[in-house]
Amino acid sequence: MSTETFQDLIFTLQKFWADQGCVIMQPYDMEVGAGTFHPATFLRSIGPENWRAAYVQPCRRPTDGRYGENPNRYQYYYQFQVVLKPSPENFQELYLDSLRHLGIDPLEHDIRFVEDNWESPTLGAWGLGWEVWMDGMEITQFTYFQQVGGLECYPVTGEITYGLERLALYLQGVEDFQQLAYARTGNQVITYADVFHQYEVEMSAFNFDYSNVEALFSQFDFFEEETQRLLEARLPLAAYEFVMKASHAFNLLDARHAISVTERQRFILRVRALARGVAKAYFDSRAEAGFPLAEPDIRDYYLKEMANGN
Amino acid sequence: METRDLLFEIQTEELPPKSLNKLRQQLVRSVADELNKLNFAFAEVQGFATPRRLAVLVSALTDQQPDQKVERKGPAVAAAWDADGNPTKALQGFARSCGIEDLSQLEQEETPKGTWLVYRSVEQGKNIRTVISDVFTKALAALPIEKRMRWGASRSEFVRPVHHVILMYGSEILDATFFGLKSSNITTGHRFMSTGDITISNPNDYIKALQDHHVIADFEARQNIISQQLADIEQRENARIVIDPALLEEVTALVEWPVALMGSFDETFLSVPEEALISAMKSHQRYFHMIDDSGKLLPRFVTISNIESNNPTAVIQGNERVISPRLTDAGFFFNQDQKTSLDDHLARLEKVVFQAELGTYREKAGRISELAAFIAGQMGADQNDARRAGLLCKADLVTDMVGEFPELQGLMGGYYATAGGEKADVATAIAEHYLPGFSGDVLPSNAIGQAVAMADKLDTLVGLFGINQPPTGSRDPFALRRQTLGVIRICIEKGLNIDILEVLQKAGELYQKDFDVTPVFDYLLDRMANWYQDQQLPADVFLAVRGGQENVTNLSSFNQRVRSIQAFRSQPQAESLIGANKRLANILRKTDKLSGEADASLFESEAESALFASLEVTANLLAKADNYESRLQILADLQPIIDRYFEDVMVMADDDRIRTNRLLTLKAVQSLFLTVADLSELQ
Repeated sequence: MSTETFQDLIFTLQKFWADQGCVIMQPYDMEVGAGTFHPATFLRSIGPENWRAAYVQPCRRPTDGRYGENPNRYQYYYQFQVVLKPSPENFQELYLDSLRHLGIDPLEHDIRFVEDNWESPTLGAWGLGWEVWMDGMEITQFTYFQQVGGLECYPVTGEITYGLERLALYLQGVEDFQQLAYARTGNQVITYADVFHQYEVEMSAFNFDYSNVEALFSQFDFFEEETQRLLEARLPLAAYEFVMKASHAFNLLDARHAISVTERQRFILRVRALARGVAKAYFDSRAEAGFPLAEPDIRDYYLKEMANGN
Repeated sequence: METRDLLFEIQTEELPPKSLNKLRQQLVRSVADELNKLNFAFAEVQGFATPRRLAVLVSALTDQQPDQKVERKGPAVAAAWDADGNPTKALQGFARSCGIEDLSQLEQEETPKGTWLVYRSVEQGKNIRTVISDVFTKALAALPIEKRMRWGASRSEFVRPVHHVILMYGSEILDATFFGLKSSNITTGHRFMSTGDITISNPNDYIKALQDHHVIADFEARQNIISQQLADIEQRENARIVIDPALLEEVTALVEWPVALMGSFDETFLSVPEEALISAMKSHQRYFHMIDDSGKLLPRFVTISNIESNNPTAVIQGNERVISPRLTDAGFFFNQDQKTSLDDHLARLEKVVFQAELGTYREKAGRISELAAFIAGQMGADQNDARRAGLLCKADLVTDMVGEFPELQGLMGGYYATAGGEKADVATAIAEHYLPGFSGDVLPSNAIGQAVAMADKLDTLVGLFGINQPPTGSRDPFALRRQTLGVIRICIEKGLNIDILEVLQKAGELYQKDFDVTPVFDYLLDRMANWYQDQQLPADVFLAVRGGQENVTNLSSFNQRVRSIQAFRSQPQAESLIGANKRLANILRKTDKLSGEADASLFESEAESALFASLEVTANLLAKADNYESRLQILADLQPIIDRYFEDVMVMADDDRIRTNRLLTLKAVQSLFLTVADLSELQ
């Protein structure tokens, strides 16, 4: 198994999780703050249907921009996301196997699961789990979803989020994202800096200084209205795209310190209300379809609950 | 009957470190309680906890509950049979509830109120095997788990997913099911340094078996190992490791097999304030930091790893690679924050709410500023410096550094003030204005800091009382209790000559909302009483001073009086003077309407004239005395005269005029005492 380059790492993880029965999805083609926003995680965690997927997702966190100067903090970076629903009994072991697969020897490194409970106020979601530390560095988030979009998760989705760049630092033995080998052909090495450095510098400047605050505010309002309109039209997947857009607009505004502390809470609640609306509409649409991917006993449990008005 | 040891273990995925020890302690308590309730004898319950298991070992647990005599009272004999001699409904029901058909098993008991039917039997004690599942189900349900979780497609709930449950009585596995798992004698060892399942053959082997598989199950034992390893590093490196007990407990809960490793970071980071570096190491990485003999931070740290790595250097290098960006971030925030002046940060407080009804932090900063200047005026300190420090003291709340490390609030403000060219006194005041942060903490070191610290706390106090949100026993979100105590300590321990009531009134005025500060003052004095109690100073001494008419609004002199009275109590005259004051208080209790002055012509004995004459002399002496102790002494000197008076004079004379005249004399005596203290409060 080769993990010499950043892209090898991705190929290896994809292969590993494909062998575990995961659908290998591609990145969602919209700005998101985390792989959790991808419908393959957020929406699929809702309701009784089973699901296994893995995919790379580029993430944008405008406030984390450091103009490419911090060795491991970027405003644009990659997550490798795995979701298994229901979470299997050997969930942690599977994950550790994936590390072994990458050539990480757990007898050499100090690998630990350190409590880190996850909550996304904007998605109305929370779960319990850990960040996985390797020699003190957080390389993965590990979460058992308990609630998503305000709905209880049953069965529970287990989510693994690898921080690809940080993991690659270890595998390649370098100190800085910039030095990572992204790809290698013969003697030629394309580094992470070759691919992303200029982008990181420009986007940091954009996030902190050049984004159009006024336009972003009005876009936010527009995205909110669109979501509501599409929910009324019973198009939850389309509506959800506008939730993602609203959330990103909010993150951009936050990076400009354009939202005061009190307003901040109000904006979060607005996005959450949208996410909840989408979750409910998506659930209803799957119920209408008869939850085709669910285990019969759990589908029956849901149908009974619904008949009881829960 | 026999006794054996019992072992219960739940082997889980990694448990939350900050609550691990609490979970263990509660499990031990609950198991002991449940067994006691059921009357099962045992020698001891020991608890064990690691990141991946909670366990209890009950030693010498008896297998059999003692038999219990049961006595149940039934209907009265008179109501048990009807006229035809047939059992009534009441009797039938009673027999059914006792589970008997033969009514002759019932006995009769005669009482003064009549004869009753009684059912007596012996209930056979239960076997441990039939109740144990219930014992642990209850004990698990009683665990203080903040958030329970579900996993997979199960409806079971616990702190984290559960993988094995051991329940053994001696070598026997007791049959039970928890979280959908059947009990067994199987567990697992260290996540990496052990492979496969471990079978426990006997509860007593548990510790040893786990140790063989690289798990130290005993929490304290593990903590001691860590302490020893830290001590070894200190010796080897000739440096000191700063051990925060909370951090030590947390790291103990994060490892099954502790191995302390030391790493270092680039010395250039030492230009960033060390508090920020320490926060980055401690809160993010759970590292212990190291200092030299003079207390200066060293560019080194210790991490407690969970493995005897076959390549420790790799683990150290990995950790060094992590801390560097963390410290880079701290440095980034420090530089970024300084690009904006504190005055500009202050302006951004306009958008930060202090309390919904009390406005923004910007408004609060304005009030603190004015109040601090007012207090400084009373203290004789520089009012302009106090005004400036008060205005800027909250500005760091909007800085990136405090956003990242909230525990650095104040401190960072101090650094930024220095960097921004503020006076040293002002910077120190800003840095220290949150002091004292906890009971026993140090106080602000300079006068300006004391003024700002009090202004901040009193502003919060007056505001929250003003909107009728005083602290209650269970709710005190603004930590008013602690803040009030802080004010009291600053006043007393720094010997400040300020009138706290005037300061409170000023704080009220600054809100411009007609806040009544009387309840705040009362609350403050109540807290002061508690503070004395905590110092084992009897409450009566406090009440004696509070009851006196000397000004009680200067807390510092109030405190001196309390100490004086405490000292006075051990004097020879004290007991009789206290007695006399109680007597005065009793006699005068119902004489509110008494007014006027005693008439010397109505005195009948020399004792009366003597007391009367001494009053004026004493009053003159009191007026001239320049300290409280001598005033107390002057009063103490009255003791023989008062005692003689009570011996010789019958106050409640039959003659109205004489009685009234005597009461007036006593009232004058009492008033004289009350100008100093209410000695009748002393026990």
